[in-house]
Amino acid sequence: MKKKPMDYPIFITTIILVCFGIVMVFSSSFYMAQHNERIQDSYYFLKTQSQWAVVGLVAMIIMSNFSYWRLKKYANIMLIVIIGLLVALLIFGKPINNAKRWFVIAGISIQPSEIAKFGLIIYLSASISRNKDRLKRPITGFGYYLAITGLIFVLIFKQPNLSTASSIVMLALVILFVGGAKILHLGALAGLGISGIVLLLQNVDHTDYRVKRYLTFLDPWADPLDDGFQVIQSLYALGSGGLFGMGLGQSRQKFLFLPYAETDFIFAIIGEELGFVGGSLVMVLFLILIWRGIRIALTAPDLFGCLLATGITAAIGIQTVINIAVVTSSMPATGLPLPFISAGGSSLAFFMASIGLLLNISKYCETT
Amino acid sequence: MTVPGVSNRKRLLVMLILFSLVFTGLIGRLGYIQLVWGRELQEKATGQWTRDLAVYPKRGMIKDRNGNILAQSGSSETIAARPSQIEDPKGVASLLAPILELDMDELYEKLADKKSSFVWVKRQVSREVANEVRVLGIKGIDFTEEPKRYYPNRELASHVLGFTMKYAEGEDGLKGQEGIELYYDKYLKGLPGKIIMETDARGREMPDNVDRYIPPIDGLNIELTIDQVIQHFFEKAVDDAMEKYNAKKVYAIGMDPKTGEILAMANRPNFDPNDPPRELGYDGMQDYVKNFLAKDSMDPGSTFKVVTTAAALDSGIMTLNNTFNCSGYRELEGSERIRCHKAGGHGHQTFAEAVENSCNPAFVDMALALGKGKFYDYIEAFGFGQKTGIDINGEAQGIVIPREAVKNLDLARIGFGQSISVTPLQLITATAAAINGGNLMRPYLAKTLTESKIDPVTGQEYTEVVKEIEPQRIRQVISEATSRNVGKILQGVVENGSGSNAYIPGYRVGGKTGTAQKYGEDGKIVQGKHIASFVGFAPADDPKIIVLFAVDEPQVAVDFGSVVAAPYVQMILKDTLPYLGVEPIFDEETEELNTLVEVPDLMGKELAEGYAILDELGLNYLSESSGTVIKDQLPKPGAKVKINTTVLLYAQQQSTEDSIVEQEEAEEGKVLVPDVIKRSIRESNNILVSQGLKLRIEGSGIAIEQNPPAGSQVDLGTEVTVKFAMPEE
Repeated sequence: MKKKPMDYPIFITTIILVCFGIVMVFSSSFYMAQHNERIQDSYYFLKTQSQWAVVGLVAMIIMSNFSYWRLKKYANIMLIVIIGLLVALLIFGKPINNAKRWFVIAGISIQPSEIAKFGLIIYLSASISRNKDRLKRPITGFGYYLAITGLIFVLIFKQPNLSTASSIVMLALVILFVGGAKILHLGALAGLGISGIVLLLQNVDHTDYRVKRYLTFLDPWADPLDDGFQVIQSLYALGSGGLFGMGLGQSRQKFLFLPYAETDFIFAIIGEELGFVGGSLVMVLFLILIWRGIRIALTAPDLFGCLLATGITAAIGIQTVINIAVVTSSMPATGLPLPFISAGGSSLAFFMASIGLLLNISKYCETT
Repeated sequence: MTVPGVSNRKRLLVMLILFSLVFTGLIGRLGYIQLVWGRELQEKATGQWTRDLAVYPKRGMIKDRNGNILAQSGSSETIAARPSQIEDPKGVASLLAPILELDMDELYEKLADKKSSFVWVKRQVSREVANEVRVLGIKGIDFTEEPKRYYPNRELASHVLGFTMKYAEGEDGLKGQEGIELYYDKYLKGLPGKIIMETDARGREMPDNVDRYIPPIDGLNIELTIDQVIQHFFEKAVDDAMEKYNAKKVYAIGMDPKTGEILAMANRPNFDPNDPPRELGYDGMQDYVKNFLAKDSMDPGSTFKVVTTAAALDSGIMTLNNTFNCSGYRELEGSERIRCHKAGGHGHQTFAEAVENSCNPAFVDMALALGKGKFYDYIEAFGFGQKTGIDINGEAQGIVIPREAVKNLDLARIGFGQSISVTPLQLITATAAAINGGNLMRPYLAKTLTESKIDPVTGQEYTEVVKEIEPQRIRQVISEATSRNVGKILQGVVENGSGSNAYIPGYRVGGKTGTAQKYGEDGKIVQGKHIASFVGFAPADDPKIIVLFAVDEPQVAVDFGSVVAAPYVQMILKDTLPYLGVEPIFDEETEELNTLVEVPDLMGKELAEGYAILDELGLNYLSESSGTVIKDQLPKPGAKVKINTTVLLYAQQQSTEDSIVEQEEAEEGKVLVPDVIKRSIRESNNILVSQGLKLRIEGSGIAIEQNPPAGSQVDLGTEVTVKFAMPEE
């Protein structure tokens, strides 16, 4: 197959996002890092984020420079490996903040659920593209893929990490949808899901604190000190930004008012410092990535490449949407970082690696 | 190789459209938050970015009518802690407890309470102690300055001034709790300012923070109608009476009868407002801090007869030509007997004699002749049963039997001061109205509100008058003519009647005695317990001061007001009148009453010789000497004085040079400052006033220091500051 140059808009957009992310991570973290008793170094997050960006860049280059379809062969093994990793994590993992989410190897923490996310994308893409008709079969096809996805969901949910687990399910459904699942099956699943939610809502005790927590986003001031706190602080940051923002580096909310300002809530600091203009521009950059990603899926030479590109694009898109929706108090608060931008080492490297894979596919796309 | 089909591509387009829609929605949401809701959110956010530190204003001073400071504010330091920031509460407690004289375990408990963000460690710490703690540099220990109130004269006028308390913990500043401090709290306290600083979420100052300072506005100063010197005379008199009669309470009030200005107010028992007896609790404290003069009512007894007299004359029901017959009692219908205090009766008396004798039957006649309607009109016009309107919180209004319910027997008793309950303040205000020309004045304590300011150019402090409180006439109660007659009759009481103990040679003193019954809790009269009182004023024809003096339960055999209270009124008037510039007048009127002697010219004579001459004439002497030759004397030669009058002699070292200098100075209208060291306040005042100087009192006891020093030449009317202290044993 003839190779073409890679998709430059994706490459450039990614580099812009990563560099911008490093700047924002530094801006939002330096005061916190300086006053955190365990860190006491303003540049700590700047350094780690830069290091991971370099790691990510290397991973991106590697992932864009081989014949991507070779991955197909390892798909099954990959599935076994990720399930094994997740199980091992539940058994051997050391809880941090009451959750077993990380493996710490030589001082570097890696989230197996990140690996699982991309592993599942590869597995589903490979398996579906191997036999297009299998997906149409209700039990051994559609049902089987759902079962695999469900198993991974349960393993990650057990950590517990509901947000990542849910995003993986959404991602899998997008692949199944694009991969050709029957509308009837998807419809039945959707019906099942909706009736499940309705049933849940009817039987749920609205005074239960867990339920209340999921509903605080509707009125964060109802509980301003506990569950509503983060969201209120996030809204304060965005509100203070206005149209053009307070200027790069000028956030007030990052002075310990807004928790997780350098990770899950970094978009609030972007909105505060750069305003609606800056926030929207960042969202447009993500939309460019999605558009180019889907374009690659559309023009991919084979179904594997198509679904792989779909999965990667969906992973970026879904996580971006959830993160921004949480920051803008449009959905219940969950802990998902903003791709490429939030501080949080391995996540950045994995996203950059997956962009590498996307660029890899783009080299084999048909010219349109 | 499987190639993506058409359906795959269609579905990818669906995916692209869905993402685009969701992104559009989120951008819309972002725009709403940042552009529409933003202003409100930012306002709320600003609130949490800054921390306000209140800066407390200085509470205004309270001064007497001549500008002497009676209450002022300083500040002391308070040590507080933030337990969440204290790393080693045990160590800190063991370090601080000995310095601050606190219990170590209690302190540890406070500091170890991680739940509280802020606790007081110790309040009102001196700067030295605070600095001792400060140098330790313990993290989590804070210092704030706290205002403190000082009353430099301690007990002086304590009931007038009141005292202050701290606001609840966590707040700063002082709150008036009694007296002027309470009544004028809103003027005295001022407006707090603040320091606004930008902080992080933990309250730490921002790296590039610039504090914004909104300065506090200090409280206004209040100048009282009280005169510190006159107050001293009163304090001394009530102290003396308290001790002499082992009384339950003693109280006295002095007022300018024409304006209603209160010149002095003293209660016993009393307290030191620097340290009010809080340990007694609110109720227990009342025995000491309550201003009985305004807040307690009593049976007035015979002092009330002034009101009956005024009413009888003013209404025209009686004239000075009326006469009374006293057989020792009056029998009312219903065979109720009202006895006179004189067993056999006073017999036939003129109107004036009846008042001088304080004859009860005569006043029964007056009351009954007036009748319910007229008598009650006067009682109400004189202000009984109503508040006087003085600037004291919680003034009592006394008890007057309602007009509808009053029977003739009650009316008869009210005529001589029973069956009616009045506050001492009402009584003196009414008596003042009876003798000042007939005007009921509102008694008041605050004369001027001033603001301390600093001249921006010279940097000098000056005061600006904010409000001047003018005398307020409530109503004309009796005619001026009646008032003049009442004054004359009351002068007769002192000169011929029961008030003779208040007589002062050379002064026209008027007054009325009173010996009131006391009622037990069952409402019945308690035998053998009285309130002896006297209300006196001078000069009778042009009163400058009116004094009410009352001794509650004096422990003596004869506890009449004439014996117990009148001498103190005399003592006070004797001190006060010269101070007020009222010179004794010796004219025909007084001459008739007294054996008068002419004061000899002693100037130039040896002191010892002067003593001998005065002894011979039956005069007392007081000398002010830095030598042996008499240079000056008071009264001046040729003045006619009553026997036993004190002649003040001023002696100096004989020296021709000195005398020349002195004479030259004297021509310029200057005087030499006499030496008052080792004199009492009263003596000092007499000495200084006799030289045409004024006394400014500091402290109490005997004089230990004076400024300008003795022998300096000063202008007439110069104020001499004298420091008094208790003599050491």
